[in-house]
Amino acid sequence: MEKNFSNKPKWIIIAVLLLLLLVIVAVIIWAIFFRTPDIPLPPDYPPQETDGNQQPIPNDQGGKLESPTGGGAVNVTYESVVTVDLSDKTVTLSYANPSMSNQNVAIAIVIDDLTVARSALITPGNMIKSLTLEDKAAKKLSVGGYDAEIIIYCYHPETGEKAMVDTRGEVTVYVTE
Amino acid sequence: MKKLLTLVLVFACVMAMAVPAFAAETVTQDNGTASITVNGTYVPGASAAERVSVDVSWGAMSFTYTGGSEGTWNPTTHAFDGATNGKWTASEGNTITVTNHSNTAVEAALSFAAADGSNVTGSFTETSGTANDGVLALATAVGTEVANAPSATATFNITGGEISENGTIGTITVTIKNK
Repeated sequence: MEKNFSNKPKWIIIAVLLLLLLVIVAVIIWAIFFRTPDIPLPPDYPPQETDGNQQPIPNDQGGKLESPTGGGAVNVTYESVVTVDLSDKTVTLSYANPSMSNQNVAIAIVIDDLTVARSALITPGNMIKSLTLEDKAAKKLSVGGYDAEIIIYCYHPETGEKAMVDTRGEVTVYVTE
Repeated sequence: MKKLLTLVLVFACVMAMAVPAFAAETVTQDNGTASITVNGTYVPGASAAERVSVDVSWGAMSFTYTGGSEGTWNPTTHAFDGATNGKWTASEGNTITVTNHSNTAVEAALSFAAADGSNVTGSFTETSGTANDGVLALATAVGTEVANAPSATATFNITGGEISENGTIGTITVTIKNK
């Protein structure tokens, strides 16, 4: 029987393609299960920066609030009026995190689902009187008054872990040109 | 002409000096009295701006879920004996205390939201001060000593759902509202 030597090139091509397929599958398996990520694994408790607008609370009383072991305690002090200046995109408010708190806090001013402004960390003994207006809020807000909320998020001062307890309060936002 | 004009002006000045005397009451008798009304104008003082200040303290909020046990297979009944359901136990420190230092009465509404993808549910039991309705009612701090500021406490417990790995169960929110 004669071998069909005219089909030899076809078999070579098939063999090469099969080999290529095996290589591709191997690369895929390696990429999914064995490849080392190029970027570092982000921590579960990302460190945050302190807010550049925070300033010491004048005449701040010392001492610490008591809290059960493993828990936390904050004093939440704020004025119920917040003003927004659309022309220079600033939010004027008054929020203090007295030194008696044992948590860092970050605050956000929210109207329904719209974030008007948010802060970075405010450490105990410090207060904040102005924030930058969020771009999306700058486009949506118009002159007038809005019912809003101030949201206070608490973070462990050493681990940065977010506390299980948030606090919310009622504020009124007055928007001016 | 100039002398005449001068005389007229002097006379006018003299008459002007006598006007205050016309405003006064005239006492016509010896030992007589005159009543002069003294008027006062009331300008209300500025009231203090509303300033909310509350202490919020909380415990470790650590809970352990023990998965259910299948029990022991009983060949005679073809059923599992002693099967148990999963259960939650609280470690110490599942309380929340809110203390009011504001110059207005406030209410602190307590709520729990499970973490994304979790079916865990929880409830609050108020242990001091107010009716058990998930809202801590706190009187104004005006007229109280700092150490005796109005305060209320609630205990949080997990009431349902389960977890299959360690992690954050959810978030408790304390919402402060003016009363």
